[in-house]
Amino acid sequence: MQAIRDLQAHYVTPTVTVRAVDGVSLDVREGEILGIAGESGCGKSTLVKAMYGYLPTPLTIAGGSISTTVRGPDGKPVTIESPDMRSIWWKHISYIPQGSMSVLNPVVRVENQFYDAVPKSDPRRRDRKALREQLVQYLRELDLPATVLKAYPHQLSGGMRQRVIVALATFLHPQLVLADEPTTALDVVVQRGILAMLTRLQKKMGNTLVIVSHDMGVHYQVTHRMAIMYAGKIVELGPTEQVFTNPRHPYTAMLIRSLPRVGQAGLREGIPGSPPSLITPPEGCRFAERCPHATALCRERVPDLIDVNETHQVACHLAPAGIAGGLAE
Amino acid sequence: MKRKHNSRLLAGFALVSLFALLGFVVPFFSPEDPRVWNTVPRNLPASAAHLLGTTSLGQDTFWFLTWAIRNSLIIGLITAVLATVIGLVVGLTAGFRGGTIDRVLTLLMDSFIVIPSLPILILLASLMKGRASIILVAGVLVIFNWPWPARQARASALSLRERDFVHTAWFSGESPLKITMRELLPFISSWALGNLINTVLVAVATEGALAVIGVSNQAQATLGTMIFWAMQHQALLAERWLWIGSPVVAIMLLFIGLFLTQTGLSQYSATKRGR
Amino acid sequence: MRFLVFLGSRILTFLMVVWIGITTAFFVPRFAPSNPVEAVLARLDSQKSFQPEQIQAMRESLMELFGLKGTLLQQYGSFLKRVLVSGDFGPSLTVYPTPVSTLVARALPWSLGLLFCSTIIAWVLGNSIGLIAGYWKDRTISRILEGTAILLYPIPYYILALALIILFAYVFPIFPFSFSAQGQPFEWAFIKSVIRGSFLPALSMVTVGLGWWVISMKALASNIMEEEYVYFARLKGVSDGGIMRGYVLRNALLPQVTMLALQLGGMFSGALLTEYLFGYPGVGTLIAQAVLGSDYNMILGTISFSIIAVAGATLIIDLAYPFLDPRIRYR
Repeated sequence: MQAIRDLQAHYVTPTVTVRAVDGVSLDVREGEILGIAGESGCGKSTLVKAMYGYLPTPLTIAGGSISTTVRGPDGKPVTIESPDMRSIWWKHISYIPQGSMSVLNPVVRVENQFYDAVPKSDPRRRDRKALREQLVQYLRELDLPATVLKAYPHQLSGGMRQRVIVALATFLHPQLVLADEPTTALDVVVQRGILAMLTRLQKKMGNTLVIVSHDMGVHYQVTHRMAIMYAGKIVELGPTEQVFTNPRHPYTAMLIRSLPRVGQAGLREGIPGSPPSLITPPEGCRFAERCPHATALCRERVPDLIDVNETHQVACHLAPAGIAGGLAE
Repeated sequence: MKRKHNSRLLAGFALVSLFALLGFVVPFFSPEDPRVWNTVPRNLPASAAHLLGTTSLGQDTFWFLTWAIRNSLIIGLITAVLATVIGLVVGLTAGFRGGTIDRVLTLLMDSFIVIPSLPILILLASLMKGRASIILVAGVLVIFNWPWPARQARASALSLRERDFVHTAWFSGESPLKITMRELLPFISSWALGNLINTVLVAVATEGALAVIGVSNQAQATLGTMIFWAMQHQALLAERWLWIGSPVVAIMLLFIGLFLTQTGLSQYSATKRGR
Repeated sequence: MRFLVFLGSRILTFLMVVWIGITTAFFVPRFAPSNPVEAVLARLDSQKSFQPEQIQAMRESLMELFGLKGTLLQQYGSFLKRVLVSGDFGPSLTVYPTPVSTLVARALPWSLGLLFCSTIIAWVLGNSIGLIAGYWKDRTISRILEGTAILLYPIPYYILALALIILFAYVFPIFPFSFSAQGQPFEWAFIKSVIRGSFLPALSMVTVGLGWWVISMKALASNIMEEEYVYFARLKGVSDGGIMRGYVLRNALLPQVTMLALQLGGMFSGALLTEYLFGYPGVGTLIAQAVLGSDYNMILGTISFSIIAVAGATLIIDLAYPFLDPRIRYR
């Protein structure tokens, strides 16, 4: 589906360069739900923008590559290299941005906002009527009434708007859907609805879904596999179940420990300190400053992603010794 | 980015200072009252003795121009200061008091904004027929220029009214006037100054318009009356460019300077607020 | 319900404006140092000789118009009735005995034509240029466009008019310095002379008017470009043209329409003086001539009329706005 190799995505300005994504390698597999987790500023939003191929100045790909393979119109696989991905936007790969409350044009009807997403080359663009019928059908499947089409965004409730946006991102049946914090700033009930919608669609259409969220709970509920990012690098990667029951990176362990659990009393632990500067990153492991287990080696050398088993990888010098593993009960 | 607004403000300020110099300092050096007719030979071209030549009425164009700039600026400043002060008072009152007072004042403000001021000014000025002093003309201009600062003052008052620091002051027992002066002035001054400059521009332009038709005080020297007299004496047909051209160019440059200063100021205060 | 309140307040403003204007016109003659009626009659008499009955009739008419008959309240009442109901300002004193209303009616189409055309052209052109400047706001072209607008905007209409006259009627005599329509209405010669004569006045109005629209539209457009929905449109793959039209323009146009209402008064004042300077046969020249000739009937008539016209146009635009903004239309 998508192969990311040693990606470096930096924000380059005349005065500073922020190395938001600094050497990320990842495979996105067809039909999976992949989660990308981490705190604010770790680079996950930048990564996903690069994955989509949306690179507004000053964001540039300074190194590495992203190869996206989609099924062409005749069914044969086509590979596109970043950053020239515009040709497959929306039809083969779509993007649900962060903070989607105000993402709809306030003075244009909802249906027109669907229409202008259809690429010019698509014959459906000419036949509005057929498109409309398809849309009504599709919306029905998503539990949205057909009246939504004629409405203006301000007439819809927050939850409805969010679902319209999900519908907008999926109505062309793209093979890869990237969702950046799809549940942030929503109340819990709506959150559940959105997640359910996304997963139901995924099951039905068999597309690949990538969910970026700082909320570990979301990942636990929904994703098959997850990647934990810290300071521009991936520190742990593996099946969600494994990552949660057997985290091999101290950061992951701390993230999981900070989640509330039913039946547990007592204070939740936060993680002291803050992430390092992405302009002048430290020499060795970027988590070394905050890591309770850090050694001299950790501070000198950047750890590579190594295999823990066939499906689980971690970037930590101490991983083989199994120091960070397990959850404190 | 920094260079950009500095250049606007700088350019504007330079132009305005030039005119302030020409209008307030230079006239003190004029040999005699340049309004008096026939003090010098007529229709001379530019020379060392007469920098911009002389007019058909036997006046030195250059000295007349400096007096004209001075009087136009005086009219502009008086109008602007009065209009801004009145506007601030009315607007703040409306915004703070709310209720009926607010509604009445707003109605007044909106009405005056919509009325095309020039026709009424022409009406008023035509009956004073060339006998009105500069002060009176300025007074008449104030009547139509207070609504703009008033509107902004009201908007400021409405938004600031709810802010915590105002509530704090209120509850600690300070008088409304003191609250206005101490807490609000810093917020208001950012756009009030810009507004003032803009009003100077509008006032000078309006007086000029009145003068060109001939309803301002024809005996006085203002940029507008200069154009009026030039046109009365067929300066266009006779190709006396300096006489009619210099006030036209002066107005253009002065206004561009005022406008640049005003937008430069607002850009400056926007960056100060960290926009 | 909300709309009715809005409608009511707008109509109230309109009536208020008209009332203030007319009332000012009513009170103004009282500021004249001497009896204005006699002064006017004396001047008329020196220019042309009239029969005593005519003079008496004019005295009656003038006294009524100036509101000098009866008690203050009666005067005001009859003045209002005459002006608002019958639109009768009496005969023009300089073009006696043609009624003022006829002269105004004759000049009206010219003014409307000029004002309408130049306002529309300035608005459309200015907004288009501003849209481009705002959309590509970091490019040089944007800075050039905005810079030019900044140089043009502060210049008063009449100053630019004068500058254009100097340049194009005298220095390079391409256009006539004064308007004169030749031939019969709607002959080719007539149309040609009208276009030739209207070109400079229209150019002057459009050039100054442009400035404001470019500047304000650029500010609006560049703000809108920062909005989330423009970002999303880009992600969807909408083209530059599509975004400019459907997203930026549609959202920016609404405030620009309200702004149009506020600008009408200013544009009208500008047109007034421009017409006079070019000798264009519109209401502006009428006012100026009236003032120069102390034709009080005409002054009152044209000014009252101007106030009503501008206030009315503003009202119409104000009322149209809710129908354009879907956020207000559908609640």
